[in-house]
Amino acid sequence: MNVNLLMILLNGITYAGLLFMVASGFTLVFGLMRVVNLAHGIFYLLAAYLGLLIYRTTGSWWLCLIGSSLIVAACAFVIHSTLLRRVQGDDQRETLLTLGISFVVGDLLLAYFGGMPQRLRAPEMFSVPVSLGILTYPGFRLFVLGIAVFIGVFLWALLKFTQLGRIIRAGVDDRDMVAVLGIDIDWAFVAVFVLAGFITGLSGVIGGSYLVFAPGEDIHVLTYSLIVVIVGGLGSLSGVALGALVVGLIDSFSKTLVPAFTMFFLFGTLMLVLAFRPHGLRGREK
Amino acid sequence: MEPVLEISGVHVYRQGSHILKGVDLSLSGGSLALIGRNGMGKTTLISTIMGLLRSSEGSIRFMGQELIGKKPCLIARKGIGLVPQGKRVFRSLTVDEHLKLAFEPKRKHQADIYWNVERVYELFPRLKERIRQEGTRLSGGEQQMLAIGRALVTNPSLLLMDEPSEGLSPIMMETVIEACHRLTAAGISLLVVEQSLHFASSVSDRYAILMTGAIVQQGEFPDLLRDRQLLSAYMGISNTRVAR
Repeated sequence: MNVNLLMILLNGITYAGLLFMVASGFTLVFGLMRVVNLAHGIFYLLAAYLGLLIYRTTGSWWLCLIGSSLIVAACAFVIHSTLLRRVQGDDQRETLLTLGISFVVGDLLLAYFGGMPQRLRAPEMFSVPVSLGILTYPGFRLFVLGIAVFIGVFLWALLKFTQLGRIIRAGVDDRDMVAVLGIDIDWAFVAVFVLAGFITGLSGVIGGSYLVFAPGEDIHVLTYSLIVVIVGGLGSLSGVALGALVVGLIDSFSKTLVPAFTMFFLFGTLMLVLAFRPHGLRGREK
Repeated sequence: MEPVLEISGVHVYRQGSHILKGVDLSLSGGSLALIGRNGMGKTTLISTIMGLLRSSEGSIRFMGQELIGKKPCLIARKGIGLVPQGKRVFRSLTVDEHLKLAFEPKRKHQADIYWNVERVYELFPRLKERIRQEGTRLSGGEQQMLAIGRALVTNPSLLLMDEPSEGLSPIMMETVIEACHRLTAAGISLLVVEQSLHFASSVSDRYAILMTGAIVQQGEFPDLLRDRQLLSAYMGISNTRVAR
C-alpha cells in the first residue's frame, strides 16, 4: 500500500477519534435526552481557552486537561440548573437559549483572548514520532485515538451495565414511566448533562492541542458534531463511532486530494444518508 | 381503619375540557374495580393519582398523606405502583433490566411479601424464559406480566392497574387474574381500571362506576351482575354479554 495513502488513512482515523470525543458529549445530550444544546461548540472552545489560561499560569498540560474539563462540567451544571431546566421539553426555547449562551460566551472569549488563532502545546512525551513499520506517525495523534477509544468503552459500559445507564435508556423511551417507578429522572438527566460537559471539556483541550482554535471555531465544532450524530443515528453510541469514522475519513481524504470539495463531500454524504437512511446509519425509528 | 386511598372532590381539566368533575372514591384494602365506558376519565384519574396530571381542586390522600402537588417519583416512593394502559415497557431494556431498573432494595415495604427480581420470576416463570429479550419483543401477555413485575419490585402497598386485560388472550387473562389474587392475598391493595366485566369481577369484590367525570354508582359485584338495568345504563352492555 502506498505510504501516502496509509498516512491519509491514519489521519482520517485519528481525526475520527477527536470527532468521536466531541460528538459523544453531543449525542448524550441531543440524541438521548433530546435537549437541543447549541452551546455544545462553545463548551469546546471555552475548554480550549481555559486550558490556555491554566497553561499560562501553571505550565502543566495535564492540569489544563483536568482543570478545564472540571470547570466546563461545572458550567454545564450551572447552565442546566439555572436556565435549561426552565425550558425543558420545549425545543424552540432550548434552541434559542443555548444559541444565546453560545453568542455571549463567544464574544466574552473574543474580548478577553483576542482573535488570533491559538494552540495548546501537548507534553514533550507526545511529540515523539512513533514508528509504525513503513511510516512514522505523530505520537500525540495516537494518544488522541487511545483516549477516544477509552471514552467510547467507558460510555458503553456506563449505559449498558449501571443503574444510571438503565435510567437514561429507559428515560429516553418513556420519561413519565421511569418517574412513576420512584426514580428521580430529572436528577439523572442533570448527571448526564454534566458528564457530557466534562467530556466536551476534555475534547476541547485535546482538540486545542491537535488543531489550532480561534473565535468561530465553536460553530465549526457544532457543525461537525451535528453531521457525525445525524450520519451515525441519533442517540446511538456505536452510531457516533461509525459517523465519526465516516466523517473523519471523508474529511482526511478530500482535504488531501481535493481540498476545495471537502464541504461538498461532507454534506453530500449527509444528504445521501438522510435520503436513504433517514434515522442515520445506526439509528432506530421512533 | 384508615383508608389506603381517599379521593375527594377531585377536578381535572385537560386542554380546556373538564374531565373529572368532583370524583369521590375511597379504597380501604383489598381490590376495587373502577369501571365505565371509554372516555369517562378513568385513565385521567389514574394519572392524577400518580401525579402525572395536575388537579385544580380536591384532595387525594394515601395512608393519610396528601398526594396532590407532589412529583410522580415521590408519590411512587410512598408506595404506589402503576401498571399503565398499553403496558409501556421500555424498548431499549431487556426483561431483566426492567426489573433491575425498578428494584430499590432499600425501600421499606408495607405488604407481607418483599418483592425482588427473583420473586417476580417465581410469579411469572414465562418472564424468566425471556430474560434477555427486549421489552417490545415480548407478546402482549408477556409485556403485561413485565409491566406488573416492574411495578411489584418497587414494593408498593397500592397497585394501580389501568386496563390490564387489554389485548390479552383468554388464557393469558386467567394468568393475570390469578396473579392479582396472589397480590391481594399478599396484602397489596389494588385499584383496577377495566373495560372487561369478567376481568373486573374476577379480581375485585367491589366496583365503582365512573361516568362523565364522576362516580355514579358503587357497590358489590354480585349485585351489579344481577342488575341488568344498571349494566345497560352505565356500561352499555346488553344482557347476553354479561354471561360469565
